[in-house]
Amino acid sequence: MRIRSLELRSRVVVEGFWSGIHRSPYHGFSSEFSEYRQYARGDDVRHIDWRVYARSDRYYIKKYEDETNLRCQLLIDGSRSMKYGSNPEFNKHTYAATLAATFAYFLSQQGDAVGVTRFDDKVCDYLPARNRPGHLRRLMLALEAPAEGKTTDFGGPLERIAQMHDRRGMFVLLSDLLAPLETLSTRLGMLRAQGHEVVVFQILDPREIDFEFDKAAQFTDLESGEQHFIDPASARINYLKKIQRHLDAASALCQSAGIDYFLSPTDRPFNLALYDFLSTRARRAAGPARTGTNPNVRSAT
Amino acid sequence: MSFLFPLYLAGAITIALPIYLHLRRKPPKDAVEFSTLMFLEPSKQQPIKRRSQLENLPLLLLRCLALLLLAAMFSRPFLAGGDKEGAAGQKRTVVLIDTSASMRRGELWNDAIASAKEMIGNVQSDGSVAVMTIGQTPRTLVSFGDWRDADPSRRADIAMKAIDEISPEWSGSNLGNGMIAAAEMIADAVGDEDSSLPAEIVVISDLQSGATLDAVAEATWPGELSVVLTQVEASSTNNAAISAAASSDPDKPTVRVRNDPDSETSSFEIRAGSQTISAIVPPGESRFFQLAAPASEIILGGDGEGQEFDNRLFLAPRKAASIKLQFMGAGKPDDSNRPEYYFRRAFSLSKVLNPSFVDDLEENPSILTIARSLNPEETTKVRNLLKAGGRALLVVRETSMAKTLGELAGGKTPRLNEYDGKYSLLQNIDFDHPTLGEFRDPRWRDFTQIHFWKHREVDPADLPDGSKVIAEFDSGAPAWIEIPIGEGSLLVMMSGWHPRDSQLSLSTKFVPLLFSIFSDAGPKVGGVRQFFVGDPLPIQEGINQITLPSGKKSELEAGVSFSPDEPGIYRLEGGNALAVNLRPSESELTPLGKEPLVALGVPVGKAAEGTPASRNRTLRNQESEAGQNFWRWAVVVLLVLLVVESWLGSRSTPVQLQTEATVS
Repeated sequence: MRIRSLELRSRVVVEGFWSGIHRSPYHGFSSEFSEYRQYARGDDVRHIDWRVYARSDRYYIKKYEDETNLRCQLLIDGSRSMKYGSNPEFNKHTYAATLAATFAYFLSQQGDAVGVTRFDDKVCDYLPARNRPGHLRRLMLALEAPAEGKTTDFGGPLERIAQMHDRRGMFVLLSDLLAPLETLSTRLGMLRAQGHEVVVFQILDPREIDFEFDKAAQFTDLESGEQHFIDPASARINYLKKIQRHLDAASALCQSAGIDYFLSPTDRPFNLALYDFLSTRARRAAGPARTGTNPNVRSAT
Repeated sequence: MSFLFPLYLAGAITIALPIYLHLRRKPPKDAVEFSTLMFLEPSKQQPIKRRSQLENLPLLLLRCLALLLLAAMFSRPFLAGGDKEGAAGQKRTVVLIDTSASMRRGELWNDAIASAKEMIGNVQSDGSVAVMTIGQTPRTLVSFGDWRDADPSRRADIAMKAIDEISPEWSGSNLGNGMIAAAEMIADAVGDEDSSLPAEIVVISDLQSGATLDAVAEATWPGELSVVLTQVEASSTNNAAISAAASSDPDKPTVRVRNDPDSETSSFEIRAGSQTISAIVPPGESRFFQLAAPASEIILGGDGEGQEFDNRLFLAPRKAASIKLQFMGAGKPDDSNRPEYYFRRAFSLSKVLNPSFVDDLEENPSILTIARSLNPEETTKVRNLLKAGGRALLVVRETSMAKTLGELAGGKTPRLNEYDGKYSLLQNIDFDHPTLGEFRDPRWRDFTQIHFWKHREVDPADLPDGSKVIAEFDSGAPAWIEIPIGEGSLLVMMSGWHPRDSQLSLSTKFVPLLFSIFSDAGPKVGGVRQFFVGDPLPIQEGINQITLPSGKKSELEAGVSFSPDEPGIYRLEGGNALAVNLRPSESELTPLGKEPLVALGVPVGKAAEGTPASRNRTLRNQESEAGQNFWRWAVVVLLVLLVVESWLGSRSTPVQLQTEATVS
């Protein structure tokens, strides 16, 4: 059964990751200690730190960074361009689904609520963030859906998603971002303005980055069906310039909005992507989000 | 040699296309699907050398010849014959008068009558005139036959007298139907006269944007017919309309006041019995107002004299719908381990529903659910009910119900297996299906929270033709199946909703799902129970008398539907009251203009084509061409050319490949 294989893939990545860095997966980021505050009448006595009382003879309340668990919504681009893969068995959508399954498995293991939204030019599937027995299986079932959508349009879906989430949470966007970036900028800004954390993984096939095609051929656009005769020998230099400009624009856009941006070619190991994700979480836990230099941006070449 | 449609000969220039294509290099055969072409610019292709284009010369010649023949075929060649003069005829005119409720405004009706009379007075002595009216349905006042049979000196008087006797109705305006009926009347009259006579439909109407034009969308109009629009215009553009809106509290009705975009006033007054509400509605906008107490007649005031036609709204006291339900299951109804327990609670007594549970199929239950095996007699009765347009829900609670499923579906007995896994979820849910359309929104479409502990598996191949699986379990087995039977349908659930089978009855989706399955027979939640003038009223059998708004009683004939012709409260025997209102589209008064009609293909304002002499010549040419039929021979030659072209084309490819192989 395919659902098992996806679950298995994510499990292998997560457990392999932990065995590699020798750290327990059961220390959640969401229950980070923040500060002490003096007890006031009306506070719950269960939160009094008795050790501090023993030392100082004063009642102190222990405050946490975030008293609820993390609510993470994985946003998967289901447009047709995600079906592209230089290896037909493992296209961008499969990579995105596996990466999402990995994040979902990891977060559910540490008790955080995870949900999935699949979109193209509209929201196609929506599974709210939960942490219940059996929810992970439903997530895997939703992630199994193939990329049969139409064109990518970030405007409508991200606006809809913003309307549907009034509680602060985290959004992880897994997309090739092969669409005009103007609407993406405003919509991601809207999510940030609502107080959500946003992480963007731009997933590209290595062939999309280096454009290593040998022969002239009739190229068909997977989304629009448009056809052009392309001779790679003459078109490559221009293509590389334009894609680099696009990647730089996506990176700059995220940087200016205080969003973590990662370029993930489909040949990049999943555990490294998971490491990127966790380093973001760790940094967020350490301090407030700031705009400025984004250390996560990696060069495409 | 002449041509019936010489303009098509211009199509011969399309031979430039194959010549151009033969000059171009063949596009590469390699095709690559790529995620996006937004960063790519098309590369230029090199034309082949001039010498090599000669290689496919026979193919090119054949293709050019085929295109020339195609152009010749469309231009319909013929050998011209002698010329004989035909007699010119006179015009046939249908005067179509709009009698919809919006014609009650101000002086519109008087203007319309005056226009119609002027039109008839100007008809020449040898022309023919018919008069029709159009409200919701067309009505003939004077036919071409009546006109022809009357004494020529009295024809105009007869038509004008018929016009004097009509008055505006309360119905909507179905101008489309009216124009089609007028065109059909002209077509029927053509049979015994000269078909080349010009014809005209004169539409006298306020041409409001709320008029229905659907009927003309696919109509084909004869070339000699033209439609002349005579628009009558109201002196005042002020108008506001009142209509009913959905209300959460049946005792506090909500009304919608819509102010026309061209209105110059925005202050209105809503009166209902002793209640008076002041309403401010800017032009072009709508506002909703809730009344404090129930009312049967609500009047809107303030939009000026002569605009009262859409200012009254009638509301019938809302009564819970009496619906008969039957649940054919085993065990006691109050056993919470049985599906009937939840079914009865879903359809329990409420403000919108007054259920009565019956045990006998003879009582024709509107909502029927089956959760046990049926005996042959019951099966026949249920099938008859479904064939007559009924709907039933079959809950397959155990594999022994296979025989019942097969017999009800009208196919062979399917093989059912009990699923032995831990639990299942739903997938591949068809939200485009009317039953599940309610859950289409992403907020409601998550069914994965419902666990199905047990279900029965059926092979879709065992189901009769036409069956549609609208949801599947994640094991791939059908979960919910719709099977059409006669006029009705059977919905089959392969798992129950009671706790032993699933969590469905505990889900918030359970009651909406049941209401959606029986949406045609069940209660309407939240909607407004009202009818419009001209629509047949749903009167149950056995009711023989209806009291009209005027207080008069009208006898009802068995088997004949009753359509109200004025707004008001209609009272049935037994105390039920039905509110009938003016159709809301009748209050959309913005002038339509002729552009929408032209866009729909109506020959608006077009004069009859050509002079009589030239028209007759065209007719003679058509007859000559129809007798010679050269175009058929052109088709035969074209087909032969295409066969030869295909054969040559298929031969040339392997030869090239062989040459390439030899060279390499």
